[in-house]
Amino acid sequence: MSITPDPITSEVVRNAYNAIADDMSAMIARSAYSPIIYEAHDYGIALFDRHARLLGQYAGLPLFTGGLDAGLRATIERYGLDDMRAGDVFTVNDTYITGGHLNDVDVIGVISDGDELLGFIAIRAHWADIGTAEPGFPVNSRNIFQEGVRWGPTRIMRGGEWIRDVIDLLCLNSRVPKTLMGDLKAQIAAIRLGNDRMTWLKRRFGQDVLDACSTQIFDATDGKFRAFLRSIPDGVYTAEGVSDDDGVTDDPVLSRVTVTIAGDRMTVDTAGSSPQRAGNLNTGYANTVSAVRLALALLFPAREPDINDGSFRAIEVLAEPGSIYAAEAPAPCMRPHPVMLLIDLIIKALSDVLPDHVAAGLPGDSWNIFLMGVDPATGKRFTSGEALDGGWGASAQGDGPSAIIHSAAGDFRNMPVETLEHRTPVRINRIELGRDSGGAGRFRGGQNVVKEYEALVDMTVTLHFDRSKTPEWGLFGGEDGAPSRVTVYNGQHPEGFIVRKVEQLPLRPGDRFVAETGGGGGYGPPSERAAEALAADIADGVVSQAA
Amino acid sequence: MRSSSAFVGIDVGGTFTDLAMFDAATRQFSTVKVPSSPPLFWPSVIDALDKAGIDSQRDATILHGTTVHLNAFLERKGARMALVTTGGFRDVYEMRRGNRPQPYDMHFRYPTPLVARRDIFELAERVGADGTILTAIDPDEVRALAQRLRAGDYQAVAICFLHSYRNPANEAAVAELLRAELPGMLVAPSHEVCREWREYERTSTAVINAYASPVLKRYLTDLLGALEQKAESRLFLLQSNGGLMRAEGAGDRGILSLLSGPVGGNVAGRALSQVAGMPNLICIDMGGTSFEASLVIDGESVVRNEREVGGFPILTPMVDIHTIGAGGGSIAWNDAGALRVGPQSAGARPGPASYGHGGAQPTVTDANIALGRLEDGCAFGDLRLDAGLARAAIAGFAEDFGLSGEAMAQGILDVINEQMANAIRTITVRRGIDPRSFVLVAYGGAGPMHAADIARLLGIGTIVVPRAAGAFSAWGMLQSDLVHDRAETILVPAAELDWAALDARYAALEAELAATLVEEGVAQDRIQFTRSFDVRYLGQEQGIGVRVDAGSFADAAGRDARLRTDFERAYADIFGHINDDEALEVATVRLRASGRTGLDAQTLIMAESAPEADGKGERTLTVRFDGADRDTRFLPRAAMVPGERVAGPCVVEEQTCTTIVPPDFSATIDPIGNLVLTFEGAAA
Repeated sequence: MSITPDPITSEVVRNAYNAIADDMSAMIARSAYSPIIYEAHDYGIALFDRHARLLGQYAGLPLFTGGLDAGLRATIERYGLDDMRAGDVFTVNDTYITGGHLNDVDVIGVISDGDELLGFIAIRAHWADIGTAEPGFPVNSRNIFQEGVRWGPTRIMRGGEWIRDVIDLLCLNSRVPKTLMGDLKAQIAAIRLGNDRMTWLKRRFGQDVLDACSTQIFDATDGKFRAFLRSIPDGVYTAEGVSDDDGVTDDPVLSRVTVTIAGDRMTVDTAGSSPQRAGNLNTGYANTVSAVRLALALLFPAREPDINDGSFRAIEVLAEPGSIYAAEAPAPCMRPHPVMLLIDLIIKALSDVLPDHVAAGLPGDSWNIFLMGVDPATGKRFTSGEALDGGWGASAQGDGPSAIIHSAAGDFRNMPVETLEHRTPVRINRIELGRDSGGAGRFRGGQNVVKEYEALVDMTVTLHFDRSKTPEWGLFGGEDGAPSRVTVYNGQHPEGFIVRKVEQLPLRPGDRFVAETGGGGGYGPPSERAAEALAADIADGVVSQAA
Repeated sequence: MRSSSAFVGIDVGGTFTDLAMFDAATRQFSTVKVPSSPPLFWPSVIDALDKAGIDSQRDATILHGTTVHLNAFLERKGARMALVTTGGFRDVYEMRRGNRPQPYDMHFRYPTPLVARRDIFELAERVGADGTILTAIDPDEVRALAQRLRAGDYQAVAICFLHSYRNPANEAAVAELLRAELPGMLVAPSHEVCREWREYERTSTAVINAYASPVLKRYLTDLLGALEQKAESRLFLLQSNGGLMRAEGAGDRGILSLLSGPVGGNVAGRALSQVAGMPNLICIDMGGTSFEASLVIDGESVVRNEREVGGFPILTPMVDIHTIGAGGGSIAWNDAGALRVGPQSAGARPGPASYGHGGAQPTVTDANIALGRLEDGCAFGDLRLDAGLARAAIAGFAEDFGLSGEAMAQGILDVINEQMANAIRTITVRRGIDPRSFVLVAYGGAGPMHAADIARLLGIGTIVVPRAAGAFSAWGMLQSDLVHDRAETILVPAAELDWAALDARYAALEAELAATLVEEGVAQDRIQFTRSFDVRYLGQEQGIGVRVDAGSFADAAGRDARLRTDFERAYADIFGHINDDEALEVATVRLRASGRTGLDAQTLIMAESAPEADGKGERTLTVRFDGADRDTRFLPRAAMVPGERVAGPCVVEEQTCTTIVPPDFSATIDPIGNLVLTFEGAAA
């Protein structure tokens, strides 16, 4: 049976898919337990039909959303569609399947109307603790087993009832079981909402009409993305850069990308990139696919491109098994810095043929800081995790925005100083936009963030800072942005020493460290900068008089 | 308030100024509509009062809603201002929260900050997270700062220090010194308008306050001056929280009334809810470019404590209005073969094709007229709408889709109606509410034309088009209360709450606010207080408002359990689950003081309406419903007999709006003058 839906119904259905995903997002943000979910929006939601085709999504953290289909397909393969029924919920976090590190947990719910399977909802959210060797994110894991509990597709709810033994197993392996359950319940509340709305939609239009609309929506989107790819001259385009090190040795880690445009197709090949490393910056293949999808969506000339099953049909992603971009067990995968670099390198590779679309080097890292300890005043353990912002690359459209989250994340919010100081015995002495940190150019790169912390009690700090050896590059004569670094001032080193990756460095009361993230790349020669723009930068203290 | 001979509600919009009046002498209700008078706007208030017969012989209470400072803010025409921050935190304001709400837009930009970096000054001072003063202010440094501010020729200066939500002493001390040094400048510390945590959001609130207040202040000064010549009057301003405040002090805290204009409809909905005995309403207002939806639950406006306006966050209580880009001017367009409607609008120029100003792209208004839902040649302000132009534009557009013009006209309405229904689903579903149990209230220009179609999509059976639907906001103001809100973030686990100290704190605040209300003219016995806590599970970000009656504070045995029960009932309503082994935290404590006005609802409802000028009279025209042409009665609302049911299809006309009653609805006038549409099941 073939139905050709009218464009009106098709548009009504398309709006409904996206509205449903947005409403699920609001539900999670309101009810989650972990600050990283409700405050930083560290989650993504996708709505699929029963063939695992993407209908609509809440991008939130777009690198998450782009990999959600992988976990779903593996779950369908494991259980079979016949055994996935109303009220069933599954979960998977295996890095080699989902691409995300183990803390990023996919929860997958079945959408059904009675016995009729309609589709799936997949939500990836960052869980606070899934039993890593040390609390927080280990910087020094040497294999996947040190990075927490790993599970393949696993049923956790059957017909709306918890499967208690599995839940108990998860909770027993977490330092914060209540938080884990709170976040899991938030994900399930959102799934229930999505299920109700999708069932209602199906009853209104009929599943055959919805399927036909979906097909029409996918084809239209596919057409738009292919038209964009056709507008790029055929050719083979390359770029390369390095991550600073893998946390084990100081050797840089090479990323190389080859982008081939042929008619309406794009192939992205990571051949030539480093083999998987002993340190934990490797990633599963699904994450690499997600990064390529995200790069294409960033390049696509629309503020809010349609993202559905039709968006990425024209791309192929190649990564050698056993490389940093398609790691195999038991490679450690906690901190995949090269994934963010890959997004930026794809953009860079195409910069010569898309000079008006691209931006210079983007904030290419999440610059994480974890503070841990026991507050002597209360006797309670504290853990705080943050991702810092950096300077965005300049483009033909103007200066890069300052202090903004990296390209792989989206609606991710930084931690207010008032919140951080309330929860953690630390004092922030200053948080500033770094002067002269944005790469000079006709258009200036965005400024970085300079943030000074002072420990008020004994604690440790764990740092993941990258992108000093390949700072955010300038384009077309623009200069590079300032590289990232952290300077620690303590009793032994009152003059300070520089670190970027460190696991649980002890801090005594009064010890300080200054975190500086990367500045954005400049665009075009600095000599072409408009005089009034330069004068404004000097008046605002964005650049010093000398620069 | 003293007894008045006239109660007057005046809503000044961008295009029109609406007045609604109850005359206590004649017990008559009347409305006046005059063109607004940009850029000053206050002359149209005087103009409307003239037309309503308010002169120097009259004693009037004037309740007022204005968008003058909101528009100045949105159009970036606010005060030249400076910002003072804690030393080391000058860039908090520009940094925002670092998020990119459009994650696939490589060229995403936030709006330019309202204050440039060069106009942001730091002072050495510091308060700890627990409220301890770590560094007190240095008066000499503040005086030196005053010099620089004076030299900078600023009209206003905002102050926002870290942790001032917890202890505002440093902020208050700096404000006091600057006020003494800079008498002509508006000095606006954050804690006077916001006592909630998160430094960026609070700074943004303080900045918008300093940016917009001088505009409001000038407007109110001019208006009060003009009124002095005019009548024995008292002027009150509608605030964003839905309550009124005395106009005299409002100009220093403009942030509190920033949404004075937009919230008027919801405030009227609340009044309607209370007098009509309909506790739960969805209020919709559809204009030329935007659609606004808001809720009344259990007879009260739904108020939110945080939202973005013009791309900047604000932390003050505001009636929760959800706005999307859907209106009569929304343009239908072809997106690579897919049909899209809006959010771009044709505006007034060239406007919809039917305006005859050369607009070629079909709009929602064109679809309405093409289907006969608006009469060919009907008046729209000074314009006459041309159905032929609308049909031609739609037919040409429809060809690309292989559809007939009529099918496309219906399609444009279907898509836009669905978007509006989705907006309503969003505000209801996110609160765990089933919209089917609500009554839809439609007002404003285009709302009543689309209300039945939207209601059908949501499964809503009853629609109310209130009396004076075209001046609904002004009508609602007549029944608003004077309201003052206070909030403080305290962040205390519920188990450790010092109820006695809190009770004392509340009592002190209540005494302070009661004095304010009495000063504003409210009788002591008409003052009410509502205490509430924002409660959450320990560790969560967002709290849920829980009312705590004053009696609970002394009830040591029962208060903790009651707080938990009330919180969890509300929590389960929204999220469908509770976490019964988790501790509670009281994040923010709130107090609302309200004073009833002199005019009670029943008086207004029973008032006689002044007669409306005659329209065209009843006639029968052809309107296309669901693909079929139907003979349709067009009848004046004034001709409808209360209690008599009119079957659809019909079109009810009044001066300020048109209501479509589709074939599957019927219409009647209820005892208090509302036009009520009822879903009658499957279309005949």
